[in-house]
Amino acid sequence: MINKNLTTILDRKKAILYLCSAYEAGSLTQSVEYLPFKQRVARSSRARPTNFMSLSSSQVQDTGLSRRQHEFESRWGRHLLSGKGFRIILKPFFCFPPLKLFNIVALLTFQPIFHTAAIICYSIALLGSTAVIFCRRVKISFVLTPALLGLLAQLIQLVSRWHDSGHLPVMGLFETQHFLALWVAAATIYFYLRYKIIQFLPAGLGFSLLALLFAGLGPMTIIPLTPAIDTPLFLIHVAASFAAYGLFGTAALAGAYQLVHFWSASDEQTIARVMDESLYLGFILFTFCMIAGSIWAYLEWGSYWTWKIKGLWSYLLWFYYAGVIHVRHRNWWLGKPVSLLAMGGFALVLFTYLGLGLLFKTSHPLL
Amino acid sequence: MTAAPDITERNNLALKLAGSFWRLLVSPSTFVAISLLWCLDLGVGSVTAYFNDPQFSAKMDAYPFKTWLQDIAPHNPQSTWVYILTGLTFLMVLSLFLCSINWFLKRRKKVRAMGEFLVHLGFLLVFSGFVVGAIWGSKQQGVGIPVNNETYQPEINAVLRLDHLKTLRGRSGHVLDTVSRMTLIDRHGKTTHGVVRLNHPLIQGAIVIYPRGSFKQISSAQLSGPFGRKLLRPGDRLSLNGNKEIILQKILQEGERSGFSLGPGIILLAVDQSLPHGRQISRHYLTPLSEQWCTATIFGRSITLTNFGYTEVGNYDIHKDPGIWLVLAGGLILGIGIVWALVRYFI
Repeated sequence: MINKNLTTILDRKKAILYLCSAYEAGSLTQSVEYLPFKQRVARSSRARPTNFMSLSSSQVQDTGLSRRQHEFESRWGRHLLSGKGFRIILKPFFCFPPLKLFNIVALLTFQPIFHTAAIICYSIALLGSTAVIFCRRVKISFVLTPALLGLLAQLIQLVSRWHDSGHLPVMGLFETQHFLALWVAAATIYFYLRYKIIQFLPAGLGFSLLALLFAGLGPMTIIPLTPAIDTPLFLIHVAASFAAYGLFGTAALAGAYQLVHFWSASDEQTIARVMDESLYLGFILFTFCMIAGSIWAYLEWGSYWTWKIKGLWSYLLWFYYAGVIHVRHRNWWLGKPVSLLAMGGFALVLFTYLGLGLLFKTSHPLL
Repeated sequence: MTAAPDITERNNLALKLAGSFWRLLVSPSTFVAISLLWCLDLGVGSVTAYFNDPQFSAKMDAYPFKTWLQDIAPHNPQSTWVYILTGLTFLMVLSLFLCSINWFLKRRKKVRAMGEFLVHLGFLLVFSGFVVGAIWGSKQQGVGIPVNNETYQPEINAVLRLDHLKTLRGRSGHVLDTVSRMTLIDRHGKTTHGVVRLNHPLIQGAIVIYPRGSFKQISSAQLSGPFGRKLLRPGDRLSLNGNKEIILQKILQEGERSGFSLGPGIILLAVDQSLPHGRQISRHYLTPLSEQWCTATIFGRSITLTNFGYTEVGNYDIHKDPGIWLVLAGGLILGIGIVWALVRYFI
């Protein structure tokens, strides 16, 4: 009991210090909001009734964290909480004395298991898809089943983190890379199911696998969402943005395929179609992302346009892909030029997303 | 007899040239070429500017774009890329505009392609809104308004009143937010009440009030002397003996200067009303910075500055963007166009 209380106090102090230091550093000057707190309390109490020490309104206002965030910050700590669901499911089994030895399993957190599972599934699918290309005897189900399982593992992790944190988990390197991998894998499977082009599977799945491996470099902790960005516009902005990034990635892969001329003519046409669709859908989603982001910025900060580097590069991306969309069916640009443009565009996407997020001080930090 | 065909040929040639020029102007390839140059300029320029001065973008955001271009950028040689960007943006928009006109003239019957047209139109409206805001908009930063006071802001032609201010503090005493209840009265007398806090500005039409924290300002001074203790505000008079009185002329805030005097402090005037026009006898500066400077002898009486009275002042950024309606309308049309284009792509 004493330990729990001590942990509670320490964690609260950490939360307050985190907010205060962020406030002083200027990163929170445009991102802390308190007044919708009643709605947040109502929502969190509906979602999960608390059976432990609750916080007063003033305490919640003190840090700007939502009640739910306080709860998991104080009770379990960020990392362990992510395994809460897992522990609850397995608790009855581990209460049985002979199985207490296996409590070590319960210490393994919920989400890392699914992260690892997704990596394993995509690896198997990648090997399977490569095998299918070179050996006609291997069935496509050896690719699709693990790929779909990997997708499912990612979805479970996404929902689990969403449930734990109370917001769409797209904060920080780990979550955003996961989200990107999810979209690329989904797009790859969608294009396979639509066009039955097996050659495209290894690239798409390999891309997702790389993204997941790269995600492991970032901290797996759930980053509390500052209340100001907890709006439906945030969800539209980020979800549309990463869906677009995923499709731009698919377009770049298709572009790379087009540059390597060892496919049959019909396959090349299909790959061109995949690239076209990816570019078009990606651009449309990215436009939604820009519109939602601008309206959100206007409502929150009173300005739909700033000269911050992240915003500038986002517009750069939008104009770049607007250009690509305009010329993708023009005779002179068909084939190699459009493929190069798609690949170049994805390099810009990576710089805007990863380069700026990791190397620059931006309004969209990843670490 | 031979002149007529020459004129026709010349006309044909001129028409052909004009046609080619028009096709070049409305060609998507022209747009792409300009947009690639635009991207190159923006990419290289923004990264270079960031490395030279990480606050470059914040400084740009502090002014309306036209003011920045005219007054600030000429003193900063690293701003060249912004001039190029502006030129290329206008070229790009011109290309889009002509492309849209071309579409409307030649292919308007194809309703299926209306989505793309709406996207172009929406973007043009957004850009027009940006230009209007950049030219006729205004930005003021750090406007201080004491509680229960109002101030007229000529840039927005409106009166802003701060009705209530509450500072939210963390346990360690750090200020986390200031919640202000404000009233904005525009030139037509329209009154808007609203609560302003971080990430929640007061928006009335084109005017946006955004909070930037609060600070305490010295609003009164407590003096002690033969008259006991008195609290004076600037302009208040304190009668000492018959016609002799002292006036609190000015309060210097912390760090504020007035001649050789450095704030915090007060400037007192000793006045003898029996003299013609209430003649000023002497001027005294009292400051708590040093004990000996706390006290002054006025009309033979020792007067000491014992305390200050403080008022909380809200600090605000006030923006006016007359182009916002165009931007919002453009965004809406852009959104509709995108959905239309998406549906058309798959159906």
